[in-house]
Amino acid sequence: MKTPKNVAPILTWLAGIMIVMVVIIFPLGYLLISYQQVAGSLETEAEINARLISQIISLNPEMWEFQQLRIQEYILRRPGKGQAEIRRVLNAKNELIIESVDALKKPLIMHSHELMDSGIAVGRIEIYRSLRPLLKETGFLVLVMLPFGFVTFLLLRNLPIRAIYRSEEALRSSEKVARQFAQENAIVAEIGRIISSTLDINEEYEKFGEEVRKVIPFDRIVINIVNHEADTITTAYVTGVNVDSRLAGAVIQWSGSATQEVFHSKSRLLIQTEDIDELAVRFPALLPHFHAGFRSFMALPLIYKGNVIGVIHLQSIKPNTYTERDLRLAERVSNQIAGAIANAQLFTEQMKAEEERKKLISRLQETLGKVRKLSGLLPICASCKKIRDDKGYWNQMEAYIRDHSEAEFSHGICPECFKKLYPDLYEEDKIA
Amino acid sequence: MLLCTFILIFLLHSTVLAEEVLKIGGTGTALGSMQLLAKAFEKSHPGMKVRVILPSLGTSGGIKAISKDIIGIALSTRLVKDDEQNLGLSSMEYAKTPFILATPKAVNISSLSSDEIVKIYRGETVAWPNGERIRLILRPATDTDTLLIKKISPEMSNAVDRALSRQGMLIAITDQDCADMIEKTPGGFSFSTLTQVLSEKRQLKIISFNGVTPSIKTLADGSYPLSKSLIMVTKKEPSSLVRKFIDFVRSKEGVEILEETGNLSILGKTNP
Repeated sequence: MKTPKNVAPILTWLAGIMIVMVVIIFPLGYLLISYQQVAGSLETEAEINARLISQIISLNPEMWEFQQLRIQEYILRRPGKGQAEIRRVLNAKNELIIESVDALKKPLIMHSHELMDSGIAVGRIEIYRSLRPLLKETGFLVLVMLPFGFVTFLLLRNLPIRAIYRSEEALRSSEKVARQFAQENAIVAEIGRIISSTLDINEEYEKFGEEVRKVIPFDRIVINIVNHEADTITTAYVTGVNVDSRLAGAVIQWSGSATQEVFHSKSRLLIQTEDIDELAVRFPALLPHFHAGFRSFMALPLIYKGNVIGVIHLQSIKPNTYTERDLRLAERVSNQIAGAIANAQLFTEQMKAEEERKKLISRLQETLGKVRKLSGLLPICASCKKIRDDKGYWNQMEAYIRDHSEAEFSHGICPECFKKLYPDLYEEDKIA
Repeated sequence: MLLCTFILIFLLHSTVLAEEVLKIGGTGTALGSMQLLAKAFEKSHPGMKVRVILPSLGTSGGIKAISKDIIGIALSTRLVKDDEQNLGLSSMEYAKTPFILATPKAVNISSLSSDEIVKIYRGETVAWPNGERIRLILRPATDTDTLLIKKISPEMSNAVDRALSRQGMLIAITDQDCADMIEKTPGGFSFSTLTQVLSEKRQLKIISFNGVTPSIKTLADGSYPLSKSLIMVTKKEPSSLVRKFIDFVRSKEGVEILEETGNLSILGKTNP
């Protein structure tokens, strides 16, 4: 496709040719047609007057040249409203018989017709008319057509060029949008690939942040995981300008936060304000961000299987940073990563559960091992109740059990032994 | 036999060559009376022929024709101008004839006043007393008759100009055309001359002007004010035939013919 730079001269030439046609050819056509009309009119006049004068000649062939009054009557006549003319009657010797002369300005047009006497030419009548009025009219027409032609030229030249420019602009814009869209698609796909490439999503958050920055401007990005039942949120990922020293893994209350709002509304949130009071009323949790200089906030839910599992925040210091396009794009990103984050959470939970399970099994095994040891054959003294260990030493039963189990001993006296050992004290205690 | 034939042809040819022909042309007003004069002249002057050229050449055409020696006498209603004198021409008024108002015979009117004529030319009076429409017949603007009519009064002059400026008016080119048109046009009205009416035996009704009937007598006594001069234009050195014809016009017989045809003979007024 030619660029307007190349098309403009062509359009200029075409418009110029058309204007030449309008400004010159139209008046020229008028001139030619009018000239033909004048010529035809003169020819007719000459023929009619020649016939009339020929009738005078036929009445007096020898003396017709002196029939001044009769001939004069015809040559004094003027067509229309006294069209200025010169009319001359000449004899066969080319001698002037009579003439009627009006003042005519050159150039002149003339038509003549023979005067006949029984088929023999005995003279001629000549009728002249000035072409000056016709040329003036044509000139006037050209003058009238010039501004019209100039305007038409501008219209014919500029309108198509503007249309082409607009088309080109629209095309460029479309191409830009398409390229942008393709780039966004590629980045969103890359984000999806990055996030989905591992179940341990924490390893890929930084790459994720770098990719998002390519399509959406931000000075801080945060991914919060919602702990709905605990009314808390866990910061899964945060990067950019530091606000209240929050790091990944921090668990905070979500009251008064944008995360809470987005969680409940399940819809995106855009806050771009310079009004701290407004922010304080709606989202007091964002006040530290405002104090840190942030003026544009965008929060989008991470929805997995119909449930909001978290909220992604994109924040910018620059006022009014975010547009509808940014929101739309952020939505795509959030949709892209929500599933992966949910899977990662599940994976993490599974890993934790597995670890807990393993620990529990270990403890059980250990306990079972201990239980088996004590439940084996223990050599015990029938008298002092000491127990012999594997090395052949006799140990107090309490010491042996304490060393070979989780049990601890707390010493006391049972009522029977108390009665037996301290009968006096037993009786007093009984009376009291 | 053959010899006799040759001799006869020779004699006839000689006769033709010997016969002098005077051609007379010009204003149509005078042509009728001039034809009668020519006829009488030929009768009294055997061997001399006078041919009156019809249709009329008009005053200017007649003067132009004589300046080129096409005719011997030009009949005019004006004396020759200075430039025409330079061409070797001489003019002589030989008669006056009443300049008359004329209508067709059927028009029931006998007299018109100056004011009534002015109103007719202005277009203010458009019908005769019997209700018939007045059809005014004009002459070309430069014609002698038009100039004569305009001389009647300033009001008449303006009225004539106004009539000439109206579209679709009847215009007669020559005197004969004018007389023909008056005869043939119902309700027609124009000027003519008494000599034309009488000499050409025109079927026209002569209308009195301001109550005075045009005649040689009323013209001679001055009671009828409108007249047209009739002038003969010749070379300053005319041929003997021309001189003889002029002499005849001045003769008693010639004067009688002129008076019979409505002309008041005037002799001796020449220019130069």
